[in-house]
Amino acid sequence: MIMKFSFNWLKELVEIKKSPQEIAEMLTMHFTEVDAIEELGKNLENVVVGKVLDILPHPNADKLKIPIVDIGNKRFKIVCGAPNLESGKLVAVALPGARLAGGVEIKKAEIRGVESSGMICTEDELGLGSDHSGIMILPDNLNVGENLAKALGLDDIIFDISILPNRPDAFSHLGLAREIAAITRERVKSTEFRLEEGEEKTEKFISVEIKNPELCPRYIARYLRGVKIGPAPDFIQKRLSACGMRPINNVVDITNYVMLLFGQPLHAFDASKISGKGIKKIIVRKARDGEKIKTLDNEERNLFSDVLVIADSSGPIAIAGVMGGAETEIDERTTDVILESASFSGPAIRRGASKLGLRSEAVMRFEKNLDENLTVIASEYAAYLMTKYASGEILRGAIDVYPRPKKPKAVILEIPRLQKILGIDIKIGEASQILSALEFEVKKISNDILEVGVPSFRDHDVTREEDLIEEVARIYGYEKFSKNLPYGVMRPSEKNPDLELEARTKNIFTGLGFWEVYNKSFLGKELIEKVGLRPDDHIRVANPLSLEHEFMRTSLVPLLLENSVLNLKNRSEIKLFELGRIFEKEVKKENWVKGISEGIRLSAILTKAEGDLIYPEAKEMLDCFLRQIDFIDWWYDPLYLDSKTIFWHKGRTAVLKTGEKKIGVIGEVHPEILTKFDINQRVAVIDLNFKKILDHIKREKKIKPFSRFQQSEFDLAFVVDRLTLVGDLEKALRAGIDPLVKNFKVFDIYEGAPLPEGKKNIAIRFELGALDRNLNDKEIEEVKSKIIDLIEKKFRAKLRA
Amino acid sequence: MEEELKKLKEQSEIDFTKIKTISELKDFEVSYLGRKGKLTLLLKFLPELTRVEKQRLGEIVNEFKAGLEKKIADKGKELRKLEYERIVQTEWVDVTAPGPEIRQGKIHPISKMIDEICKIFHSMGYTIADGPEIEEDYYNFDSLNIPPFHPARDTQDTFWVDPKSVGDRTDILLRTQTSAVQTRFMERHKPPVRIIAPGRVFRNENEDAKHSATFYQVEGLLVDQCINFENLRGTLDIFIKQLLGEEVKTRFRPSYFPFTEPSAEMDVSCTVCGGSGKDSDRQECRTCKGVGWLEIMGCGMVHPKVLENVGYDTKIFTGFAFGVGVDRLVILKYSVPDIRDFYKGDLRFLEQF
Repeated sequence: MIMKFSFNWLKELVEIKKSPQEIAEMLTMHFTEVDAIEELGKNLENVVVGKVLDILPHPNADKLKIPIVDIGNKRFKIVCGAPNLESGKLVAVALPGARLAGGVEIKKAEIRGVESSGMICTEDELGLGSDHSGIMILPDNLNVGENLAKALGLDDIIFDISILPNRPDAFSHLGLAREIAAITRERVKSTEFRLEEGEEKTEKFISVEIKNPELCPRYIARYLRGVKIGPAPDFIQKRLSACGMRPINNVVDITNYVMLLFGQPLHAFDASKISGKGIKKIIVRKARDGEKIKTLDNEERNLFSDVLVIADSSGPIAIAGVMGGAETEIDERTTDVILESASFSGPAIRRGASKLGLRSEAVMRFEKNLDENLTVIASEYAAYLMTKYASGEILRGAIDVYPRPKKPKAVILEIPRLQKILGIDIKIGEASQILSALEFEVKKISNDILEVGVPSFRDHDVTREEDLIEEVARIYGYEKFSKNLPYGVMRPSEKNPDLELEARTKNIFTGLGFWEVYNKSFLGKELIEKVGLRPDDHIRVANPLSLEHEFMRTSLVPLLLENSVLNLKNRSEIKLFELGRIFEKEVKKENWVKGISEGIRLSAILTKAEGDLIYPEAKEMLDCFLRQIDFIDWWYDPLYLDSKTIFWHKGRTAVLKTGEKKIGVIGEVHPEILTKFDINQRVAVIDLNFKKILDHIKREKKIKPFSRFQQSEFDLAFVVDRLTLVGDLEKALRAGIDPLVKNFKVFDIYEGAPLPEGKKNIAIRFELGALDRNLNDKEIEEVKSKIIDLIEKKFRAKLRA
Repeated sequence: MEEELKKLKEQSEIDFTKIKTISELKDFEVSYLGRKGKLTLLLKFLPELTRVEKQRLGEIVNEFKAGLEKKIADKGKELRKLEYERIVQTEWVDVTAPGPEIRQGKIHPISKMIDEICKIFHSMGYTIADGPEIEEDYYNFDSLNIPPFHPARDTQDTFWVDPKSVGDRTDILLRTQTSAVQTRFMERHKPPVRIIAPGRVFRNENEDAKHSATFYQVEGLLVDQCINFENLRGTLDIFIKQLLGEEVKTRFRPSYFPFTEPSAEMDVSCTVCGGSGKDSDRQECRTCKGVGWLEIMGCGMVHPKVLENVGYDTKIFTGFAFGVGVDRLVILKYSVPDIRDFYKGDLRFLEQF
């Protein structure tokens, strides 16, 4: 969460001798990064406050006018076309030489024959806002002729800092000033004021009851009467504007000013709008289901029981720590104000605000658990400012409900422990100095042990020794630490065969011409149904980015198909693969997370611009891969032609198996699916369960002796039925073959004339050899006839002459 | 006979000068020295001569024959040389023309970066570990000292799994950080621990050129006796120098992570402007916005609560942890303009790596 800090304000709170840039650099290196340094009046040089004295018509143009402008020591004419030009008003005048936010350079110019000595600017021309409907009308109390930046309090430097969530105390100028003080070893200046209370007691007018002290540990209420609502004093308005807040009226601005100063959000109620006769009762409680409130932003909101509210006798008047109610809002007729300064449980505020979808400056601070003691000074200081700048009378005493006051905390810091964790030889004296600079109460209880009292504003954040060690380390300076490698026993790192195989797989597939892609883990209902899967089988994301990201993928294939569509727009054919996680509902198996099976898939897609068959190429590539990784004996089980698949081309799809275990599927995509994706070429997909591949890799290999004698070769061709599977033939050969056959390979399959219809020719090359001799013709002939016999009998085949 | 020999020699000299090619040389050789060659035939008459003549003519013949053989061999060498020269002259091809196409793919740039990172840490004795992408709240948040409604959850907008998909459990999410692997690994292993865990993580945020709801991180964790903050600096400094180059500088500055204490953010000197903050035209460097440093990874000493959660003795064991965004490293290394392109499978993008 980014907060804007005014450098001028910080300078009032702590002695700063360095430049804003130097301070920003020190904060970055010792506290947290300064995201941006903004010079507020950067584009306002030569822009001054001017007063419109008179307006003359333009002789040559109806839409233009010629105001006469006073800038203190000079009066001159400016040509201007703004609709809201009005005599007597103060306006921003850019004089020649000014360079405005948009880069416009102002020069003396002649506009339609009339000389113009500058420009009267709109908000957006000045870089002060987005309004460009008319010129910017300035408040009446500014000094004519003064530089605009100065007049508006914009001669300031703003730091944008994303305060870390563990440091709500630093969501305030005082908090940041403390850090600067600690880093530069200066002291924070205390805010001096004297609150003069009236005679009448507060409790005669209000009472407070906290129903849920665990959600609201402290509530302070004060009562002011005779308040006059009007604009806040200049210095407050300037501070608010510099920090990006819009001034509203003195009472509201004071609450915001105190928040920006101390970090404690406050709220002011119009006492007359709170129900109840006599003593008005304020109740802090959980909302009741069905209760409603209209908030300051004029939205009617339904409340739930886990939202904490501030209520009066008739119902909620504010959402605690989030936003006030419109019905008790301060307005120009307000005379009596109830000033709330409370602390709320961070998680409760966060939960309530996120349920209501509301964020505010208050939520941003409360949700990080504020210091309960901060409520006291914030309440007093705001009351003081209201008596001073809103003419209010503050009643005597505050209603302070604080059922369980917290006790001061102390943490023991052992210097040897600090040295062990930091690895640096920081002495007890230095550690103690640093902690004191951060306003910790340090007591030395032995030569190397400190008892460190934690200041109230840090006791949510600093609870154990390590927290103190970090404080010492960062103020000491991380950059002073040396860069040493760890000492330790040398142990080899454990092997991770899964990841090794993943890397090899990627290398093999890229070598085969496939590009690796990464797709998202999400897909939408439409795509799921397009490929014939069921949305119900998918794990659903409760809060998806969009409908296309609603379900977790159960397959990598749908998105690979989409990749193909994208790429086929600008190339003729493609080969892609992805190795990634898929997610399935699984009740039985023991997984990482019960009920979810998280698998790894290896999926590849390839397309072919010419011809109408791509399956054999895909299969050859898969074989290549499986050979490379030493996969254990695999075979292809054809998909039954009567199977129910609508994704696969069932005539050209097989299940990859080892033994009877299914490893994956390879096949062409069904023509209907291709039409749905508008792909007009053949597409093959390989979809493998990577974990199962891992389980079936030969871990050991033994090299067999090989024949060093002459090898013999012969080819045989058989005519078989068209539907005879080569795979079956190979299986039969492997099972029942003579040991002299060393190897065989199907090298040609042919259908068509002169073969009869329904037949095909399969040509096989055999390699023969013996370990101890050259084979003679007789031996070779014997083997040949055995093979012929086997194939002819088993497959109703005929040897082709 | 002597006369004939003389004639034959003269004839051979004339014939020899006519030889232009290897095959002519071969013909010449055959016509004189072959089985039916002229010299061979002449020699058949040698036995019919007297002993004295035999001796005298024999010498002449042998000299003639030896001379002829040498001439043939020399001529052969010369002609073959010419022939090779002719071959290489006539067989000229345009060596700059493309050959038959061999299509190869490449691994994804994120895979490549993860490989590089893992190799560096592997060489320092780190084991590669992993965990699930759909994770339990406990591992992603609670065990890392981030209880429910902790403000740190703010910075990591989370995708939650619909309870109906997982037996009505409301604590299942898409992991927002690979730090989730820390507890899973430590639960199953006694210290010392040295792991590196690369993986995909998810954040529920609107996507634009700089933000992707899906991205990759590498988490590192080292727990042992005597591990300190200086070791963390040393380790990460070496890592960055190995990955990005010896000339790259690193710096540490304070940060906050609930699972480390002290916590730090590590910056590296800008890889584009070299840390000067100015580009080649002396304008503000756009990569580092003129700062000279790039925020690259979060790290710190493991919070004792995290170690206590897995039952490690924090008196003996200390450790450090770090997490680095892989996408960001690739983006910096290759000046990638739009992070979303990593997850679109568009070859026009991928082919450039």
